[in-house]
Amino acid sequence: MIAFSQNAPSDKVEAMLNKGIFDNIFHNFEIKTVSQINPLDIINEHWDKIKVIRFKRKVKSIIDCAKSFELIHDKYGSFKTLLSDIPKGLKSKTDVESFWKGFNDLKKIMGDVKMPFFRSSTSLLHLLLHIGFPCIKPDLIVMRVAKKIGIVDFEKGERNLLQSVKVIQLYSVDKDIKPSIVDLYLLIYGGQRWAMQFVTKSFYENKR
Amino acid sequence: MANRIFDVIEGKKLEKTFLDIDSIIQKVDSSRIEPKLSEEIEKR
Repeated sequence: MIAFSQNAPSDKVEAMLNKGIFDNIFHNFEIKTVSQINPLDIINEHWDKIKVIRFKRKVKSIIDCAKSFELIHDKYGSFKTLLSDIPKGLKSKTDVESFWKGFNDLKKIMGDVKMPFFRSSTSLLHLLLHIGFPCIKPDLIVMRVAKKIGIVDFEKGERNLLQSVKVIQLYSVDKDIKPSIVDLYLLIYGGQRWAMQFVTKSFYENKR
Repeated sequence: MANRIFDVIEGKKLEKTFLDIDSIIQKVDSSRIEPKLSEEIEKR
């Protein structure tokens, strides 16, 4: 996720990852080993092979993530333990409330261990979504739609972002569908470039 | 913090928002390209 972040070209990053270059350089992400790497060694020896990630500082972030995971392991046993209070599915408003209680607790711990990237709400939501939790990572397009229909007053700002996710989760509970499906519909409606493939061109012509 | 946000989004505002999302889903569905959209929904 760090490799793909900050507008790195996703097709090129994917191709690089598929070749196993990252796995090789970062020792198959074995936490103890990675946490002891000097980022400069990787940059000096391998930057040409991984430069599609755009920023050299991401190498340090990956190594710092490993260090933070080590701290979590020492203090809490495992990262998985920290996820145990966050519901994997949403069936009621109480589940949504439990999700946010668990999210806030997890975010605090990520801050305490100085976890790069994933101590921010957006990236933490992205991580949780990626590992199967019922949330979304609101795209700017989704935030625009959220503003248009009055979920939030502004497209930007952490409070607005979290409020959009919560409303989408509550809607998901009400309709018994996954938040990620509601997210897809909002992306299509908002005209996100990738999502436009799912409706006829006339959809956007009629919307004008 | 969570409770405060729930207070803000309770009641009528949420009800109207849900109707707006219903409408968005209906509009998208009326122009959906199949089987592409169903396949993407399935993936999620």
